[in-house]
Amino acid sequence: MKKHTASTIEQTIRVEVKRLDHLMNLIGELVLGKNRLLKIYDDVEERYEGEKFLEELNQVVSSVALVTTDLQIAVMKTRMLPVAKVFNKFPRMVRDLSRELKKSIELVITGEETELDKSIVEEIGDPLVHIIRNSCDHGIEDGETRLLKGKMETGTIELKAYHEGNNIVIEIVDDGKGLDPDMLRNKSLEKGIINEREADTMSDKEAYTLIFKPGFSTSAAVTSVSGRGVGMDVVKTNIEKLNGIIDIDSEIGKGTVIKLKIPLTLAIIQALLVGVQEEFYAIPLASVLETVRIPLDEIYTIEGKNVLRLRDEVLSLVRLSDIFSVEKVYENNEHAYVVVIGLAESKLGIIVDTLVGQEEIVIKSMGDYLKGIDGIAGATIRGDGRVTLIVDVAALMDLAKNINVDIKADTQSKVTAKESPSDYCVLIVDDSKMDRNIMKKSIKPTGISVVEATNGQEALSIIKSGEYNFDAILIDIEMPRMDGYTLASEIRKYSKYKHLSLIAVTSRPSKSDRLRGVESGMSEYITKPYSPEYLESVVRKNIKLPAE
Amino acid sequence: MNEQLDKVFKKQKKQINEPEKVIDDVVQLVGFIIGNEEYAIPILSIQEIIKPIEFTRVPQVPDYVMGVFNLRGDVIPLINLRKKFNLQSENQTDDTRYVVLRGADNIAGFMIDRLTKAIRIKKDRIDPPPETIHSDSGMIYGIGKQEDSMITILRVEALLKRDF
Repeated sequence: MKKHTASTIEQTIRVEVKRLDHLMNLIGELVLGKNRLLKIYDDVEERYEGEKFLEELNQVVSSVALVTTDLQIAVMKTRMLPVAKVFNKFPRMVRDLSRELKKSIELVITGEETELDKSIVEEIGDPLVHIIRNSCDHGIEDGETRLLKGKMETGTIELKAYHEGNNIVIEIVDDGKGLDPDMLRNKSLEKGIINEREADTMSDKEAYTLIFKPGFSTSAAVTSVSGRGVGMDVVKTNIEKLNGIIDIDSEIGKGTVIKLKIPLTLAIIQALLVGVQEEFYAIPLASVLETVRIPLDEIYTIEGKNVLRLRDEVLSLVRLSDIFSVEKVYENNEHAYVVVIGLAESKLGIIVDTLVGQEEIVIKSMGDYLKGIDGIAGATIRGDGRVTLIVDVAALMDLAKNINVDIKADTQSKVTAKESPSDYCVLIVDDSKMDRNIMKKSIKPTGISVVEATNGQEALSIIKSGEYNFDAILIDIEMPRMDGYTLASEIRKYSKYKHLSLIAVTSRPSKSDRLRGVESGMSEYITKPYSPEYLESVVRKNIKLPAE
Repeated sequence: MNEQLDKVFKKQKKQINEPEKVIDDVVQLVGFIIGNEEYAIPILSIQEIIKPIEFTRVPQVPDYVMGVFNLRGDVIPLINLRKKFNLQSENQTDDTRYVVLRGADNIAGFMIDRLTKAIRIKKDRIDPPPETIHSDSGMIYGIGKQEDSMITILRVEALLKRDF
């Protein structure tokens, strides 16, 4: 028996947090590797469809992915602490407070075994203290008032913690007098936190969030417990720092519910990847409420600010490209993707060009040199090895306030008209000088300008340099260094070349070659030999050259 | 006995206080070209020199910060020295390199036009920068004199210091 107890004692060991952090970093690397592997597998699957080795590769890739995910969860768990660590100090605090305030208050705690990351446990302590103090002081009425209202003499505050997806939710529920939205509006007006028009248009739910404004206090008298106007705004900043969301609901006479939604871990997060022109950004999924696709004429302009009516709400809109001054390389079409982000209690619609998808990303710091840039929370390395920046949602909301761009007017901009045929430009990519000459000769009657490249790589660097603005590219398939298929798929990686005409000119007539051409993004397929007139007509058609 | 021990101690102390002066006399530098001028950086501050790779633009920074790039899993800032020195920026060539410098607690890549060579130079051949260019936020450590040319030696800490 004695032996048994001895062995149970040794079930735990103390480990330095630094070691766990290091382990977490390594796992991060592994997750990146896994993402990369998955991406490569996708590419391989596309190219070698139906090949036997694919199945085996699939098995290996998915088992590596599975093990990596499990490993990540396992290591994350080693860093987890039960929230009891914070919750435990509250019964005593409430007891002390109820004696001080001469109220009878009971604290009911549930879900204290819910676990979350150590660093988060340390951060949520203070906000919770503020919220619970507030509930005791402002929320719960004194015994007599409660009896008069037909409530139990003892007020209850419930503190609940539970998991919801990748988040932990902490709820603070009191059965006190509830928040009075009108009183909140008046009080904020008095203190100059909002103006009259804002007060009129504000919904009740928005009015509740006024308690998070700095300098706000609903308590008539300043007590030693609360009412000094600091506190709740600190709660907001702290929760935002953890990428959390605060939700308040209240009913006069019934009580108030404050919900804190916090991501489980800070190192690896789920993110929504969005594309803006040629750039990509990651938005923490915890802050994304929804995404919608809207036609541009649904955007209204109010005092230079763009808004959208989404169901029964009015949502401010801002373009991510305006916030980050992204270089404009191609025109948007008449639809826009709006990512609705919510943080604590505010909401904002962000217009992006493309939605790439949801991905697990590892947050990496950008070092001291680039620390604390407005709007950027960090960086991550994507499956293809490129760096993608992570958006700082809280800072983004602040930045958005200073942006005044009429989105609708901006999109009705001019397209530089091409007047003479020589304004059009075609790139010819072929390793044989003779073939290039034939192509040049065929196009010559049209008067289009021509640029030549001898292989895929050269062509790609010409295109990348941005020196020319090509209307079409004629591509030979068999070339040294980089073949035509690879070139085409490389070109298609740039959003601005999504609609560029790529014409394959080749002596490979087989159906599978044509198929590969289509897969790699070729828009037209011409087999050699061809008549000059035919090539000319194909080029004319593809660049939409007006007939003479 | 005691005397002998004292002697040994003294000798050891001397070694601690004046560690091998001979080697310290020579500084090893890596020379490179930006614009028309040759600059140099102490070889010990250079973590590595790599060929240009793809980088990601970072918004809300001065224009000489080109962005960040992925160096084997680390995200590292990339700084365009041409722009930092207020020179006309030019397209990358085959000779363009990123010099990755590591300081005490900072690391960054610097884009240069072309490498020249490794240089060994005696410390007494390095002059402090002339008074007239002192205003350059201390970016210049000194001017190295060689037989046929002069070389500007850059101060790594100043390069790695964020000044925005």
